[in-house]
Amino acid sequence: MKSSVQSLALLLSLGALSGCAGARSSLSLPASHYPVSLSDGMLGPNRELLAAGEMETVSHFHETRTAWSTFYALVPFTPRLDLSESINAQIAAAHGDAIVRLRTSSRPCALDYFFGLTLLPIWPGCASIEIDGDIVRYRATARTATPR
Amino acid sequence: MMHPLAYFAGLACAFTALGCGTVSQSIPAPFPVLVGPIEHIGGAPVAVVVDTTTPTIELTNESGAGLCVSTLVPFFDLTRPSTAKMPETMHGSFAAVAGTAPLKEYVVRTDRIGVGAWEFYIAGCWARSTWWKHEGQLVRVSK
Repeated sequence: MKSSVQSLALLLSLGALSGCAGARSSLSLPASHYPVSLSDGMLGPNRELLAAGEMETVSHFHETRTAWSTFYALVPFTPRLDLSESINAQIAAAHGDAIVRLRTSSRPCALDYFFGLTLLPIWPGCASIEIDGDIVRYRATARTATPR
Repeated sequence: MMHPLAYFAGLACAFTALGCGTVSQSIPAPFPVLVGPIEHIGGAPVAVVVDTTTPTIELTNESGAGLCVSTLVPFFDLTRPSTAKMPETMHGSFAAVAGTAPLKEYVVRTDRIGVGAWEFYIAGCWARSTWWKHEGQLVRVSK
């Protein structure tokens, strides 16, 4: 009898601790005035591929956003996170020309750790998204390059 | 039978590993992988032409980490190719257009970056998963 009660208690505990929560979204920059690259490569002012020595890193781009979803992260409240304004502002402030090596980092946030409540499909989940990159400026050699 | 306290102890241990599974990648390639509509380059508006003859380049990375109280052995899962293989994928697409146009006029472009993160607690196991996804295509930059 005692072991049955213990088993039931354990099963109830495990059930209460089951669940899933999180969020999904898409980062976009539809109104960016500057080119942004996920790699080391970048095009110059004359739309030529720049060599490493033709650009210099002048600052670091950093932005944090939160994505929200519900129904076990299947229904996003924030399907798009627009970075355009932030990118335009940070590059202008650094007097840069572009961003290279853009990288993203995502992790679940606090609401995802409410055991029991995450069993409910209507429980909202969230994800903390960090975006980093290197703001670069074209060197003079790139600026004065002859257009092809 | 495992004591319920062991379960909480397992979760506590798992939480200390919250840094695991976080995704942070840039693509180690010498050619540009541009995001967005590419409105401006060098302060001037740019028009691009999407090359519909090449297939869409899907770049995805998903990683997970977790712990089950029954085993107390953490697991890590990298289910998709890492970024180190992405240049190969993209070089393949560049190769597909070789001979049809100067390759230097092409770049890879993606409209958006998909991101997400989840926490799972099921049957005594905890897991977290994070992912990102780029769907790119070769575009020809007009001058």
